[in-house]
Amino acid sequence: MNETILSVKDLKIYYATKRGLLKAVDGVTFSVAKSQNLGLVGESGCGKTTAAKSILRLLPENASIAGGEILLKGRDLTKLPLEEVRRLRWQEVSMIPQSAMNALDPVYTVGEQIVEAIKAHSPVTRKEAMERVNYLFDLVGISPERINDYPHQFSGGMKQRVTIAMALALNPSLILADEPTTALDVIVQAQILKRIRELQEAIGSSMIMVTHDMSVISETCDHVAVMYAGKVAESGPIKAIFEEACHPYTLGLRNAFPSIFGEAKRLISIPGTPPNLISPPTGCLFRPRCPFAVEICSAREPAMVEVSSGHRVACHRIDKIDEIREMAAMEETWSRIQAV
Amino acid sequence: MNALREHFEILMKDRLGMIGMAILISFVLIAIFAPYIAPYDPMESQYRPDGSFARMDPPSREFIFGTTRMGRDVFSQVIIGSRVALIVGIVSAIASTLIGVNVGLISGYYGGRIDNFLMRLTDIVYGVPFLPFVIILVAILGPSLGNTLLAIILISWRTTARVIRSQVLTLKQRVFIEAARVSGAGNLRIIYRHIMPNIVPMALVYTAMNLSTAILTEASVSFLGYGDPLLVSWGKTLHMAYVAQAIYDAWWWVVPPGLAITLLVLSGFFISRAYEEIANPRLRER
Amino acid sequence: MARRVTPAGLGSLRSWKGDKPARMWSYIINRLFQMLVTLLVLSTLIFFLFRILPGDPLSMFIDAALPVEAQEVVMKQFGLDKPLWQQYITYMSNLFRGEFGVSFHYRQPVIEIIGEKVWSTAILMGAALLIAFAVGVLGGAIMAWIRGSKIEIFGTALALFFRSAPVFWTGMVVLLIFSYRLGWFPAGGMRSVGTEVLSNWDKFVSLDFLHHLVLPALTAALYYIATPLLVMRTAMIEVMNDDFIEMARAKGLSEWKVLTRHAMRNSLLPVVTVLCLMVGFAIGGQVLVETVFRWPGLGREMVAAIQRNDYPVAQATFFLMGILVIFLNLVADLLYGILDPRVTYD
Repeated sequence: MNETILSVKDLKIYYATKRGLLKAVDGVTFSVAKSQNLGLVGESGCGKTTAAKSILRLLPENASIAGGEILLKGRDLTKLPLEEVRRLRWQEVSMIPQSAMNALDPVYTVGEQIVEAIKAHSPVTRKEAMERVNYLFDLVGISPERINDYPHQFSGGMKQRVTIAMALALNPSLILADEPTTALDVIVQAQILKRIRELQEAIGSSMIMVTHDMSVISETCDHVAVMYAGKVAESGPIKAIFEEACHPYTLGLRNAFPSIFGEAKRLISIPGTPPNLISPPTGCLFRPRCPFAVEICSAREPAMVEVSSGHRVACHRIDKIDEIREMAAMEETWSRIQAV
Repeated sequence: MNALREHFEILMKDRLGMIGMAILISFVLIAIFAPYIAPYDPMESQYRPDGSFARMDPPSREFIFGTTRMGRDVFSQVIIGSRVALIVGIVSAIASTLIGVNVGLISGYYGGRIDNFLMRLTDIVYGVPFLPFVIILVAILGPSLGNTLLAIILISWRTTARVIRSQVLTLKQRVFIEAARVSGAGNLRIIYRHIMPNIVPMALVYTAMNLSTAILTEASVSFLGYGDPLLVSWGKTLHMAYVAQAIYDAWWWVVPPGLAITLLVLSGFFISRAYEEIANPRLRER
Repeated sequence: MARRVTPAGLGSLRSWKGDKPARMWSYIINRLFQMLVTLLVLSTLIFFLFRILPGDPLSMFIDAALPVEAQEVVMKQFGLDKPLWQQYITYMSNLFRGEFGVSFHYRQPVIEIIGEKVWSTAILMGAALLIAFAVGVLGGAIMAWIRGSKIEIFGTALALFFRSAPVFWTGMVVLLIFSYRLGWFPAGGMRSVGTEVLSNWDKFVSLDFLHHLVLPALTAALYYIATPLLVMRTAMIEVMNDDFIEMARAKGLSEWKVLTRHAMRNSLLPVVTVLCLMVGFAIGGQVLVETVFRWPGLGREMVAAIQRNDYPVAQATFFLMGILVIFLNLVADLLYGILDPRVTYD
């Protein structure tokens, strides 16, 4: 039951750009157990999408895996040749794309595209593949008559359901959901998230949900890894992250998302911008924006320490965590940074 | 102003675009100073130093590109011929752009009956085969530079019109147009002050292409024998060479004028492609 | 009713879902109607064009060398003694019956003369366009793939070079090198002098014919190739940025399948659109290629007719070229509708 499906250890992914080496992912560690749903959350550019896509080795030309391991059921994917990775794609690890708008090829029917995925990995006949598509459509709630329709004939929400059906086609061990609801309106978003969760549990797949939206995390994930500037700031079970967050960034993130429940309070945003990943500052990367930074924060990068079972943080100021939590809830704490 | 600077930056980066500009400017300079650069009168028969008629002489120090069957200096013909080419190219590029852009703007913006009418008109013009039409018109009206220009301009606005219209259709939906309308801007103002600046890069793509097409068309018409009898043009030089069956004996009569046409037309295409990168950001190198 | 699950893909016509087939037919009819209108306007244009000749307008139609009685017969036949509007009606009805008049030069009905020439032109133009598009599409895909490399820049410049070189000049140079200097190919014409022609088949499917076809077809193809090449390249570059390409890779498809089934298939759409525009352009090229290579087609005949003041032939050839362009425009339009399932035909 607690079998680890995916274990990422100290993963480093660097991009070779004209202006220098960009360290998009710099020493990231997380893992996903069977049937578990891990949320990778952080601002745009924090490296969460890069980290997720690297599992499928779907990286652009100028990116390379500079170090670390990606262990899928014990096999290190970074050491495999591309051909092997191709074999594993979709069969072991599949993907639900961010915007289904453009994720489906407009010149083929949706049925065709799912059959294509199936036939790329299993020697079934076309008829058998089509039957599977029928079954998948039933699962996600699309009328089987629509198998021969083209993507442009579907609405946004329906298209996303098609991509979900496609992702489930080969009963993968792991599904990567890359901001699957960003392009949808709120109501459809809730439906889709619920559906994804149900299906995941029914099939027994694990999932990595990449998002910048804390509310999505709270609805669907069991575990969370909060990423900042290419590193993991804090990770742990969802309850721990939400109720006993330790990292200032996590605290700041929670402030920035509204909640219908609880008292009405003003949204507090984290001032400043993420650091330059080509020439990052020394010490903790969050320091320039952190209201609680002290001298040691500029000198050394904090190491990951275990705060409680499964809950880890990378911050020098753990000992003062209670005070920090209290201050983080106040607006002045953050606006002080802006003034500096 | 910022847009202008970005404009030049992109042009600079495109190596072919820069080469195109350089070639075009060189030809313009040659055309302007042609009478001073050409060593001889292009239509005058020349004589060799020993007094004999300089018929079909290969390239030499006296005659850089050799001579024709009539003893005329090919180099001078190429130099002077640049004037006709550039006049045709520049005038028709400007005229067809002016017509095409306005048709596209009005058609795209107003829509409805005006659009229908203008697009039907454009469709009909699209049905006319370009070169055959120019040949026939020039043959009927009489071979002259003006008639050739007229024939070219009558047809070549069609591509610009269609392209600009479809751009306007997309731009029309954009928020800033809505904002302009809400703030009380009149239609003409919206068209010419808000929409037009945005379609300029795309229009320039076709302006440069029109330059090239016009030069090729004039050369073709002259090659077939319908060039202006009073003017020297590259096409006419090639016509003479073909008619004199000189392809086999006098390569120097054939190659330089053709190369001149090729280079000038090529520069137009290079510039056009450079503008395409400005007009369509997705094409730029990452 | 059980729905047959058919492999659709390209065959949007095969799927009976929705009313696209019905709408497509109404679109075809609409476009045919438009085509007719364009033809009408074109023929009217020709009508007026050939009557604006400075000098005696009648000389356009009546050969001044004919004896007076014969001239009067022709005048009656074409109604040239009648008012303009009546002439127009006669002209149009003649046109519809395919009655193009009698050639001044050949003294034969125009249709007989240009009948065979249409095929000559069609084959040459067809061969040239086929080569240009086949090589262009493949080349464009490869160039997009190796984008930024020296080969790609060189390829682009080379294609543009041949596009910029006047096709008649390229023809002259090609003749100089491959016919005169190397002697590999004949110097023009469609057939060797004295060849026996036993049947229509013989006329066009023989080694001699093909031997004569090579140089003009390749010359024309070189001239045309830049457009499909560059359009394909641009289209591929844009398509490669699309999300569904990444999805295709994520599904574990081989790079080859991603490129061909997804990238190229989508890139074909703008290429087909450009085929539409190419036809009008190719006709102009044909006139020049046929002249330089002395290929007996419509283009060369038109130029010769103008030079000889053989107006019936000139009129007819121009008209035929117009029909060809308009018709092929329509075909390309419809082809696009079949290839792109998103096209809706309102």
